[in-house]
Formats: sequence, C-alpha cells, structure tokens
Amino acid sequence: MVTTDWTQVSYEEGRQTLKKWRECGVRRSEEVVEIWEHVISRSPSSLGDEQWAVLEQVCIASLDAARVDLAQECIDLLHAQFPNSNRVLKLKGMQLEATEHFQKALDIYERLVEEDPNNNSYRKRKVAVLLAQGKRLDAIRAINEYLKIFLNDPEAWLQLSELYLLENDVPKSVHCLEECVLIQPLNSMYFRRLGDLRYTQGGADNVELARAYYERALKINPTDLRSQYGILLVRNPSGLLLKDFQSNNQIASTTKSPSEKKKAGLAAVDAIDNLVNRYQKISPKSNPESDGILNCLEAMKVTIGSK
Amino acid sequence: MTDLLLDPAIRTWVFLPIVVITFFIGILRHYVSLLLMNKKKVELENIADGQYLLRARLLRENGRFLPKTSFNARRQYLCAEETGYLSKAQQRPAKGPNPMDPSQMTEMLKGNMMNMIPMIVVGGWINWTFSGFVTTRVPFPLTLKFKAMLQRGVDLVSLDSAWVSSASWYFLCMFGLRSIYTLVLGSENAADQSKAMEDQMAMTGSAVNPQADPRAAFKGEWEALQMIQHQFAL
Repeated sequence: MVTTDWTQVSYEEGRQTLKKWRECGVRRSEEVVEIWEHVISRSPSSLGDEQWAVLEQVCIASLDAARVDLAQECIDLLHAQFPNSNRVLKLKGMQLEATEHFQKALDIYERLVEEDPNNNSYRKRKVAVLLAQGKRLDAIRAINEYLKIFLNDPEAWLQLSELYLLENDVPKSVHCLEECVLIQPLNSMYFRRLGDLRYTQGGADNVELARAYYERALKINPTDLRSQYGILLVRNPSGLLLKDFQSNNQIASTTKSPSEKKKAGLAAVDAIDNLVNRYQKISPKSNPESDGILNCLEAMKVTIGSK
Repeated sequence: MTDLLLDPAIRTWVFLPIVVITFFIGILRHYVSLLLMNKKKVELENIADGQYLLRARLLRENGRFLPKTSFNARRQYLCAEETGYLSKAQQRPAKGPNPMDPSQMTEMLKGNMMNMIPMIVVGGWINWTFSGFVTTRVPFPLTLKFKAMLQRGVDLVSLDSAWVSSASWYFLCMFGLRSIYTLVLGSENAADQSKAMEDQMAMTGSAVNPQADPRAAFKGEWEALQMIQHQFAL
C-alpha cells in the first residue's frame, strides 16, 4: 500500500479526498487535520458553500485527534456564520466532551433534544457521554430508551450488544445482534459475531446455529478469515484436536453417528484447506507469522485426517 | 402535399417565449411556496410509528435468518393481543388532519392558491397573448385523435395532427419541464405543477393514505405478520 503524504497533496485533491471521506463516513481524523492545516486552510473561502461542511468535518476530526485548539477555531468560524444553529451547538457539546466537561456537554444535549426531539443524533451523543464516563449501566438504559423510538438503528443495536457482552449477558447481546441482522442482512460482521456468541453459549443446538451463521458470513464475504476459523472451530469433530476438552466438548460424541462425525471431519479439513490457501498467498514479509500458522494448520489437518 | 412553412418570427416570438415563461413561472412558484409554506412538523409519535412499521416489514423479510424462538419472540412483541405495539396502535383513536383547525385550514388554502392562481392567470394570459399560432411539429406522424390535444385553439380540419398549437405547446412545456426543474432546483422543489396535480388526484382518489390513517397500515402489517410461516434459511 502506498502511503500518501497528505501535507503535500494539491488543493483540488485534498478537497476531493475530504469530500469522499465525509460522504462515506471514513474515520481518518489525523489525515483530515493534516489536509486541512497544510492544504485547504490556505484559502478556505474558495470552497464556497462547501467550506461549512468541511469545517464541521475538520472540527470533529480535530476533536478525535485531540486538537482542541483547532476545533475551537472551526467552531468560532461556524458560529460566526450560523449564530443560532443547533448543529454548531452540538459541535460545542462535543468539544466539551473531548475536554471532559461531561456535565456541561450533557446539559447542552438535553437542551438540543428538547428543542428538536426528532433528531436522533443528539440522543446518541448523550449515550456517548455516558460511555466516555464509563457509566455502562446508565448507557445501556439510555440506549434502550433511544431504541424504543428509533428501533431501526443498527449502530445503536451493535453498541448495545457490545455493552451487554461487557456485562457478560450473552443472550441479550445475541438479541441485539439479531436486530442488526434483521436490519442489514447482508453485513457479514453481524453473522460472524452471532456465530461467535452462539458458540460461546454452547450446547448442540447453539453450535449448530453457530455453524450456520459462520457459513452465512463466509458466503457473504468469502475473504472473512475469522469465519473460516469459526467453521473450523465448530466443525472440530468431538475433540479431535483438543483431547482435554473431550468430556465437555460441544458436539458430544454420543449424539453423533459415525457418518456424521466423518462428515464433520471432512468439513473441518475443507476449512483448513481454505485457510491454508489464504495464508499461502500472504508473503512472509507482510505477516511474519504466516509460516508458523501454515505449519500449525498442516499439522492439524494431518491429525484430523488420521482419525 | 406541400410542407407547411412557419415564419421564423413565430419561433422567436412565440415558441421560445412560451418555454422561457413557463420555466421562470416554475422557478417563481418554487420560491414563493418556500416563502409561504412553513415546514411540516413531524411528531415524535409519527416517527415511532413509521419505525415500527418498517421493523415489522424487516422482520417479515429477514426473519428467516433468525432461529425460530427469536423470531417468535419478536413477532409476539409486535403482535401480542394486549401489549404488542401493532395491536395497540390499531386501537388508537383516529386523528386525521382536522379540517376545522385554523392553522390546517390556512395551510390547505395556501396549497390550493399556489396551485390554482398560476394555473388560471398564466394559462389564461398565454392563451390570450399567443393564441392561434402553429408553433412546432412533433417529428413523427400521429393519429387524428391527437388533434384535440395538440392543436388546442387552432381548429383546422386539414392540418396534419403532428403540428402543435401555441396553447398546447404551453401545456407540453408545463408538464415536460419537471426534469429540468429537478436539475436546477434539486429534487425537492415545488415548481412542478403536474406533481401538485398528481398529489391532489391521489388525495381524492385513494382513501388509504398511510399518513392520514396509520391504523390501516398497522392492521395490514399485523395481518401479514400473523400469516407468515417462519422458515430458518440457513
């Protein structure tokens, strides 16, 4: 991958890049700040009306990159242009968040929510404040409240799922991820995580589900290495590899007929083959571990094949 | 039959002015309506309603990726007799736009004025100023039935029906400029008369408008969700 020196790009290129990142929601805050400081800020007025959107973007990026001074500049400029704008007020709140004035930020967001109850971004900021303060349970409560109204927001569901996972509440976490799947059935990450969670829950049914989810994830995104490993994990036929876990292995050998066992073994070998294929394509330079992993996989294959 | 030859002055003083006038009237309409209309306020409850409807639909479409227990739990949540959102929403009292509410009334009046006044005034003026010209010809032959549509104001039996009269040209411009307005003003513009008329038609034509009566939409979703047979897809 070629790394670009963002301080040297041309004005037009910088502008296009910022636009692209802004529209796709890319989080490359340090680069954004670099482009702004070295390229665009030479003449912001030649952006025309675009400059306000750019200023907002730069403001958020600079907060992300811990450049509060720059954020203050952007907010001042925006405030001069739009003195009564809620959007600018929200930026102000985010700046307060970044400087750990959580209570003041919360006050601002409260006011914004009251003024415009239909705008979900202010409510989301409130949750973000709680998260930044480490108040996990409060955050869970807030997101639940939020999801009662805006219940088709995958971002919020995903966040809630992660929070529940931190509280070791796997079933609730599963529920949240299932919501994500309902909303965006073509996102392989949701399926992979569901697979992970189902496998964690354990039990023959759940492992079967985990297998289905991993396979789905792999179907949507064939390059998903973790799902491939997941399949290997799920297919691992009755402790072929992990003898210590034989007693409590998820697919208990008692429930499986020999033919099924064989099938599972074959699927595991398939999964290993796919993994080996992937690793062979990686040059040792980019991943010095790949050789070791390859050897390990080959050994695994031999073990499974021999049983 | 010899071809009809039009005076170039007709092009300069009738054909083009009509296009330009219709265009600028549209632009004017857009800005005047921006001035007069205040933004429609959306209630928080309406948003929630919309979200729940969407969710019910998503559950129907993508529920096959969930195991049966999860699917049933969600269906229960939406459709349960007493507590389900869809069931509760069906029993809510109806609240359509209240015709006696003065703010609603001015709103409706404004909408109608914006539609009617330019139609009557400009249409009448164009008819009066530019009547009786044959302005242009469509580049393909048409049947006689089109004469009434394309040759309004020019009653000549022997004229080929591919020719377009000035009044008809005005109407063609009015309806045909929609994409140009979209280009100039963006997609959410009020310049287009034909759209406004379609809206009116839709208002009178169909009784089931989801905005006007969410209960019907909820009932539909509720029934669809009850009917669906869950089948795990993976």
